[in-house]
Amino acid sequence: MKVEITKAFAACGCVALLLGGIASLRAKEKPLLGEAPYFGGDKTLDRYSPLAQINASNIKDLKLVWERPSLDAEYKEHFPDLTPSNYLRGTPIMIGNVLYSPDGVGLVEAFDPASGKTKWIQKPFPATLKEAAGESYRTVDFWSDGKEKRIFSVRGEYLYCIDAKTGEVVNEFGEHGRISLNRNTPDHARYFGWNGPLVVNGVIIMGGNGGGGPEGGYGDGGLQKEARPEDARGFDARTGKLLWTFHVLPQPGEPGNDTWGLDSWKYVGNMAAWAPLTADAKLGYVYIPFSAPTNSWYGGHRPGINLYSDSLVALEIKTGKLMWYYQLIHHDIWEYDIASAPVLGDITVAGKRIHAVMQASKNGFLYVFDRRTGKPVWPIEERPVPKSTIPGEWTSPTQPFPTKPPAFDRQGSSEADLIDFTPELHVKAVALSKQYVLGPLYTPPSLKSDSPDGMKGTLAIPGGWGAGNWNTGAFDPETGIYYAVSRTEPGVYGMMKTDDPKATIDYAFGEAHEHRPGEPRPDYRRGIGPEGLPLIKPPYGRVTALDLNKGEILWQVANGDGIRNHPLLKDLNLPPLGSPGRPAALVTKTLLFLPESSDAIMGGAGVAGPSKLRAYDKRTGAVVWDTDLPAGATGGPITYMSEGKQYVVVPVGGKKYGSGWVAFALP
Amino acid sequence: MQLLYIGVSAVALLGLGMLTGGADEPGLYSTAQAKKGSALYSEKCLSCHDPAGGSWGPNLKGDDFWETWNGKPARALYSKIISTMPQEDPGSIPEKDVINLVSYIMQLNGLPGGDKTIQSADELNKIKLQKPK
Repeated sequence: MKVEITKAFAACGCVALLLGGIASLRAKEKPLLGEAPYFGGDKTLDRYSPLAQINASNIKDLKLVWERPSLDAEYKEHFPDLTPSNYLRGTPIMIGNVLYSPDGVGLVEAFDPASGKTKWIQKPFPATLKEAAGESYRTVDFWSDGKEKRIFSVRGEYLYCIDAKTGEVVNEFGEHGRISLNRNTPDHARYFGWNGPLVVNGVIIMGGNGGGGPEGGYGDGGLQKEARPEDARGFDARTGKLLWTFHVLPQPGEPGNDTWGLDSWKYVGNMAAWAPLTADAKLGYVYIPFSAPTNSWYGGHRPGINLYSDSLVALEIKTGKLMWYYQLIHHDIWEYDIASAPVLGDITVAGKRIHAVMQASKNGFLYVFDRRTGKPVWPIEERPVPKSTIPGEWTSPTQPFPTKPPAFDRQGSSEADLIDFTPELHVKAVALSKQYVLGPLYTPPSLKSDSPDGMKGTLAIPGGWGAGNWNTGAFDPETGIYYAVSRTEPGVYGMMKTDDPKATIDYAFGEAHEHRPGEPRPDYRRGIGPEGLPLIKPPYGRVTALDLNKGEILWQVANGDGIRNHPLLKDLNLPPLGSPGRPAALVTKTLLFLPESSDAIMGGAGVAGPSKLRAYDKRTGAVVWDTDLPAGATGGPITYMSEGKQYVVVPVGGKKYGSGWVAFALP
Repeated sequence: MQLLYIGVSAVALLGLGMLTGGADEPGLYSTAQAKKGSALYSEKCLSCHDPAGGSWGPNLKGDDFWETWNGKPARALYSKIISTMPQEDPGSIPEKDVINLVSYIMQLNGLPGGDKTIQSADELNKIKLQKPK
């Protein structure tokens, strides 16, 4: 009897283990359904799929199987002048064997995952060219209560609720199927936010811009210090009703209000969460990365650490209540927005399983926290940093430095960083560098001289475009490896006293954005070094695999050839120099896919013309395969199963090609 | 009668063929509308499309411009601008203003103007953007 009872318990144990295993798989639905429910894979934004039909042994057989333009032909019949931009941000999601994506003008299209053929398209209302014209967005999101199936999308100032079966707006939502996301600003600034909505546990959570003020609402540039804070908000997925608002700039009586000296809390703003958000539906938290305050390079008017600028914030999804926060940059004067998604995943450190949030930033650091409590996994130390010499500026005496993992990209500038492809080029680079202030990470902006031969400012590495950006970050939950895709490009921070009568800020970027009248602009695409080359050494784009079980770099490679075909370099037999674009990765069972990004992406630093899609061995960083893309990637790739076949889809765009989606599969 | 017939034929042929700003053709746009286009360009476009180069958006003057637009109808440039610009509010520039912007961009790239004003977007169908020799 005892043996039978023991066997019975053993059987129960096995069943329990099996059910537990299935439950943990179901918690991450992709393995069972082969779907891609969000543009970063799922709402952890790990850009990971366990699908393995395409693998290292057969990837050489992968073929382009369909292409779809970013604008359905039916639109052109009604609006012959309607032309999408080449910057197609939209990565489709795949739910219920249908692909849904914002198209080249931000309207939603549903198409077949196996053929790319249209199922429905969203119709602009009113039916005018003005209404049809628009920009593309990164994603849509899906919601269902078991009966209704809805697609949520953002376009211009509106959040739309669309019937997933028909493409018609759901009239019961908001006002005739949409709600305005405009904020209450004195200049009636329009809302904009490229990421689209995040819908979780019945709540639609929105970050995004539209605080009015400098340079259209990013807090970058401009001559004014006034703007409105770009609060995060939660709306009811059924009705569109506003459920909560989180004040990114704490109001009087709220903790953190006193971090805005000289009463600057009354008029400073921006700080939008313009990077993607993530959510842990089971825990009930949403993770929101905020950005720099007005304006990004001078803060003499806002002494203090300025909460919650450049802070990762965890909010309760249902109520918007602040659960924890961590400020990555105190009193930002470098435009070091948190530009990357707070990727969620589990790691094992010193034998302890941690439910982590992994936050990359423009400054080249990855900050890793326990996502339940906000406790850093490895110590983050407050270290002294240089003081600004700009009159009136307030500098935070310290900045937080993660002790692990190491930075994933270059930080700080010195003569040792200057190009040395040849001794002659290095001599020229050293001579050019004398017009800049070089220094370690967090060297503040410096004054720009009136004289064309004088000082140009601080050469900051990373610059304001970042090492990390919205494209950075993919995580492999099977191995605990975080893949940081980054770019190395310095920024020049040269400040001058403002003398424009419209200016309300004391110092701003030197006239005409880094150059003087009559002087050629430094070209982001050509570089500020000798003969149009970059001033600093390569790689100019890289992938770094960080083992987050140990907090160490596993491998680091340049991503692509870069500029080695420049006339001065092509005979030097150089290795890959890395492409300074913004490609986003896709991790699968054995492979890391990474396309080259297009120069159609904002900033223009990617590849012009046809480019490459590469697959790397995710354990070693070795390139195992590549194929041609008709144009550079303009959004992240996605993978899914449809009718028994695995597909990889990439949004692409360029001057000659136009824009659209390309899909690959095995024969 | 014969001369008139030839004259009419020549005009008819000219109407069917594309205008490219050749020496024996009238100006492609009016200098007055190019001037309006220039003012609008300074206000709405210059911050991202500086003809001196190096700005965020594609350079709309010189080789960078011709690499994309050489051989294309001016209507295509009009369509691109009216659909996608300005980036923060695509579709907001009125038709007449876009025509003036196209006129200025043609002027910026060495295509000749004259007295005749382009009145509608359809007239841009007959203009081919061709890089001057």
